[in-house]
Amino acid sequence: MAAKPKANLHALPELKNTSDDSIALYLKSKGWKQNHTLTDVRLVLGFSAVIIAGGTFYYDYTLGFDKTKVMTLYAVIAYFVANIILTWWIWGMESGKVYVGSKDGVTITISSHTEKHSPIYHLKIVSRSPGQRPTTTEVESPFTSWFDTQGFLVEKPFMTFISNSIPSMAATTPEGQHLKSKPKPKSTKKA
Amino acid sequence: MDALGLSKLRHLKPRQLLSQVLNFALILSTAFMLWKGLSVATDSPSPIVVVLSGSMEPAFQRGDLLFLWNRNLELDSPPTPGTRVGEIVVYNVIGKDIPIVHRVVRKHQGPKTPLHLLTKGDNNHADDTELYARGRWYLDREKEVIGSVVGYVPFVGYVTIMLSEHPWMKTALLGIMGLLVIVQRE
Repeated sequence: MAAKPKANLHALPELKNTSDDSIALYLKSKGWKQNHTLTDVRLVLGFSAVIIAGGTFYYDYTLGFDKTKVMTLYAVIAYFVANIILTWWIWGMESGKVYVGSKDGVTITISSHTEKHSPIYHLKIVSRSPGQRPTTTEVESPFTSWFDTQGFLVEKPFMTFISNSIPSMAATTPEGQHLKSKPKPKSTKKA
Repeated sequence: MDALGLSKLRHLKPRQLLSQVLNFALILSTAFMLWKGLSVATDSPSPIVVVLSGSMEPAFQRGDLLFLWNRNLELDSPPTPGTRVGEIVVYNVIGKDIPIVHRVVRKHQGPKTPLHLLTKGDNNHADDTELYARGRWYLDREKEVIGSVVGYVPFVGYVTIMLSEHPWMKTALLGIMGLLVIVQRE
């Protein structure tokens, strides 16, 4: 019970983050292999900068300002260059992507975003199959479709939403078929 | 069925943990590197200091925040604009740890030779020879002075004086911050 994903219903970022996290978990359970390159590059860039700062602190602390002056100058430059690259990576390359993964040769990239004061979850899914042009799907759904009144993420409607949004899954998964036979569950929607 | 997967796998997220650690570390390291950048730019080991005593009143009060510049050593030839009489400098006497903010009242020697200064607090009756290293009657501009005052913000440094003079405040501050962290979790 305690491990069930839960979000504060009054915090939009929390709703988004909880949903984002659940995408990867759900797709993993469906046999998708997540590609962590974007995150790993960010971590390497970020921690390199932190290590530069840590080293600067250590040498400054042990040797004093005058002996380390020149080294500190280069370290400061290197630190801020690393930070500029990191910022570029986060804004330019990651830019809201919450999942990159592949299955049976199909690679999907999922980005999510929300708009201010609007409880709608927007997903953009770019799907690449070998020998075909990438297809882009944009879908949106209110968070109330899969969060219950207490803020717990209800897995079934969320999975249905995700699997219907991914072209290569929509036709084949039970969740996808489930949706075709029944209308989308709206029972959790609040007044 | 598959629904079970979601809750079970939720625990294993080393990358998210690392990302959180990284965000926190970047805040600390950026603050530190900005300080070091300022330090290198001004050539001063401590480019921002807080006035600790009233010896420069009425110019500076306790708690004023001072910005220093330490590239006016007057060592070049031809000399660059150097430290002048009337300027306020911050110095650390070798062997003593407390930075002192006082005004330059006399210059000994000058361009090309080590610049020596005599300083005095505006609010003090005597000059600073008493404060200098034993048997010395001057201050070495290059070795002892950490910078000349080029700007100030009144009073904002008082927080640090309060924290160092009343240690219980540090405890209280830490307690409040800890409480905030706990409260924000849920």
